[in-house]
Amino acid sequence: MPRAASVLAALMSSMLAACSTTVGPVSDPKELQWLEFLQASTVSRQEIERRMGLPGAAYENGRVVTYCVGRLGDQFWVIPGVGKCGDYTLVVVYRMDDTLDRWSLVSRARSQ
Amino acid sequence: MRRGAVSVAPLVALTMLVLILSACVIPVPLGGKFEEVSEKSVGLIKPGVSTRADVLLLLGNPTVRGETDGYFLYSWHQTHGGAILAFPYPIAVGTAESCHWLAIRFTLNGIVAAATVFHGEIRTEGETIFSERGASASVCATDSALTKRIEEWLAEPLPVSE
Repeated sequence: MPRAASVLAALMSSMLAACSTTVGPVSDPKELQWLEFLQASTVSRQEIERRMGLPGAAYENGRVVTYCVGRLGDQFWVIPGVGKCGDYTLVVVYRMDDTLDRWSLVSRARSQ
Repeated sequence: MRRGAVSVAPLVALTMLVLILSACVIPVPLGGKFEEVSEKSVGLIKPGVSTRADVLLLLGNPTVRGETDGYFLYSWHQTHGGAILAFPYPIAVGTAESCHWLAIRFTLNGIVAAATVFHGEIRTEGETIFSERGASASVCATDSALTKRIEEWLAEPLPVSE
């Protein structure tokens, strides 16, 4: 009986964990592979917009922009247009000279 | 013999009723947090130090953008279990949920002035197959007491250190 109870408890806790998601930056290199071009030391806004299109939202007079990103399996793509992002948001921060300063891919569905 | 059969009948009926009822209501005891801003993330947002860009890099687009981006609100909800009524197919569902908000205010220079988390009360929601599609609003949209608390906090003067 104690063994059955501990198995049930483990099952319940794993099921509960699967039901909880948090928001935060992605750190898994596999999920960031498609954004490899952002690793370069100097990437211009022009180059980013050539690859990603126009951003969905802008902050601080366009210094910070966001792109909604969709995912199916291992494939990621930018969802054009303004709207509520799904599971992923790419956040890009530019310097005053319009070169890339910082970026992150934020997931809204990170399993706990 | 006949007298015994009559006295057993109500007991059999009661037992059958209990069995039917217990078979039709399926409890869903598991809860979960959805799109939660963890305590660890909240701890990374430092008033007087973190910038608006830092917050966006950490949490992405806010659920609500304040006027001139003076504040950001991030919401998430938590389920505390529920039940499904099936006869024999699911005809109604009831859940206990709560809404939570992280509210962040910025100075005119885009620095975090204050950040706090608001937790709503647990509320029960129910829906049947006869409910209008999409009629039930999310718990975050219906918790007016929580909304009022946030509005009051946003109306407070910013800390003097600004």
